Amino acid sequence: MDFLGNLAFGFGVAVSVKNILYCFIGVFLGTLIGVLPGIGPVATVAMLLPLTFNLDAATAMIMLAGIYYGAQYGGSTTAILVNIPGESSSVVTTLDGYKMARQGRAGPALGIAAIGSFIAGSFGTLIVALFSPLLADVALRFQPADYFSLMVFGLIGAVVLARGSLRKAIGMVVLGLLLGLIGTDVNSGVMRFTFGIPALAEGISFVALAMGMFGIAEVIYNLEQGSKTRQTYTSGLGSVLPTREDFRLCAGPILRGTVLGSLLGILPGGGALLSSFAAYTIEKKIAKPPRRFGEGDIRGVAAPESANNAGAQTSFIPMLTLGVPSNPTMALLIGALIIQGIQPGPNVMTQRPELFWGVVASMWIGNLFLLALNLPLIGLWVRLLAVPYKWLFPAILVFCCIGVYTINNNPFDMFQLVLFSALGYVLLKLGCEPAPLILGLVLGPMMEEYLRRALLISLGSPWVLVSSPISLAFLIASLGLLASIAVPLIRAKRQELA
Amino acid sequence: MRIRAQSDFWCGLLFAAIGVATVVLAREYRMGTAARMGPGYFPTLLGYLLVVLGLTLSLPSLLRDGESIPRMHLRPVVVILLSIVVFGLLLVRFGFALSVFVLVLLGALADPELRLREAAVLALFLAAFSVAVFYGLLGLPLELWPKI
Repeated sequence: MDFLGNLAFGFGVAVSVKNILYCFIGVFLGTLIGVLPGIGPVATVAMLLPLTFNLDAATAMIMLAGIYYGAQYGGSTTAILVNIPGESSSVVTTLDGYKMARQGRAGPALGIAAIGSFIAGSFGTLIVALFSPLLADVALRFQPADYFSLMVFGLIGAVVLARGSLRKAIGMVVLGLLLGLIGTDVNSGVMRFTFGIPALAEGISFVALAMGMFGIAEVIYNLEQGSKTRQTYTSGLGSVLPTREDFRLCAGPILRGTVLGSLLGILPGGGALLSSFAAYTIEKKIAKPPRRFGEGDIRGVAAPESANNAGAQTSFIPMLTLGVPSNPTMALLIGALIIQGIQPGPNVMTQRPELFWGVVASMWIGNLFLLALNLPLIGLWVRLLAVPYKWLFPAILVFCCIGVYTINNNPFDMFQLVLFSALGYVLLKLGCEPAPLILGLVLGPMMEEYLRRALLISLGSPWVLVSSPISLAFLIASLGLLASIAVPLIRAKRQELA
Repeated sequence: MRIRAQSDFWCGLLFAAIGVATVVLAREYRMGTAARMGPGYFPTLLGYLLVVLGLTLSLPSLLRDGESIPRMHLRPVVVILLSIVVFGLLLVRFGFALSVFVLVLLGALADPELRLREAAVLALFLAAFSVAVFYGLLGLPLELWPKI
């Protein structure tokens, strides 16, 4: 009964006028910006982060969560109508979604995506509420060595499931860990890698790095490509309500996608990307008749869209209970928590129950808003797609700059932004994804601290990492993940994604 | 010797260089022992790891074929980065409104398709919008106008 009590408590927090309002604003702005082609959920959350600094922690997290799934859904709209996936998790949606749009069935494709997302989101929220307390309970018994290995596991997971070269991704993680160490060392008070710049004493600006790598570097990259000719299928949107036949076809895919997404979302690095691919592949295998997949089959939209939304919800579990981000957006949310003065980890649930349960309850409310916003307002979002990039990029530039500046009102932060934009651009050119770097950045100081404590207890013996069964399990799992890349099937799948 | 996998080679070199720089810089900090890690311990560890990773990227790239680096276009890189620097410099003395205006006007040069008149209208709009949202709506403490 504890569960119902907690959930009721959470709803008590989430339905306050203020929190409902910010949840709505978050979902609305997230969708608005997520719809714009070329801006993914990470950039959206990063750009809107400064809006939450003046709010209390619970409200800020509720709003950021809203922005996240709003942006996620907005990306699907772009995938269906313009054939541009906002981020990797909506790549599969373009396969059948865009085909449907070309056949004049954009309306039902968007409709089923919204409905599937809502069902999946509701279920995912329930999973978060059910399993987070259990996991947090276990995590409270973790020793420093266990934590260290858990973070290794989280980082390896994120790297293995990412796209592109494995060695480059690991390099990005290590680079991120190092960047995270810049600033004052909490144990000795020594300033590390600050080059005598006082502004770096508190570490590099997390927001400047996120905006530089996901915002500005991306803008430069897009400008290089020049104006691509793209065709938007917005005429004859038709009714967004799918037919009775569509519903009958999609019930199975939505349910399977939801369960699959919820499971995979918990894995580090899994989240939305892996779940949408897996769901699509499964439906394609078991569908009768299968031949319509890839030619505008509505099941090919329903399954991955449900899966990626369920995964988006359950990816909150490791973030909220362990303080370990499973994807770059979660890394941003952890950054936001730290800015709010909260140390992420299993203690959040017991020390700040209003934060934890309020956010969980608001997820369900946010999903309701998502459904309410998307079905009737689809015409508005569609019109946004027509905005040409040449008008869009100056706006992105402005919001990134203002976002970075307003955190400390320190013009020096602009130079950090320039530096990280340049670094992000060079790394993009060298085929390095920025996502692992930002995970490393968030985990850097924590990993050092846990390693320090683990070795202090063991009097310097590194065997402590394998003598604790929990730690050993995480390390074996990490090795397993690394070895899995050698499996030809998975190798082929990774290359397919790249 | 011809480098066959340009992308891997330069990426590895970059990682290795950053790793070496880290190890060198970290020598200024006390290493301590494993049981009592000093501030130099963890960074040095990571620095060496980065060097090893860099080498595993660079060395095989001399023998194996791989991807080349996509062409870089200087115009958007230079213009966008420069416009941010100018924005940072202007903010100190010329206030928020004017800085945003100049940021857009300069940044617009990155895209040759954007004409001057379009850019001016866009800059005016974005400056007004930013002032309204960040100063008016959110109440952030911003110096709006130039200091005389």
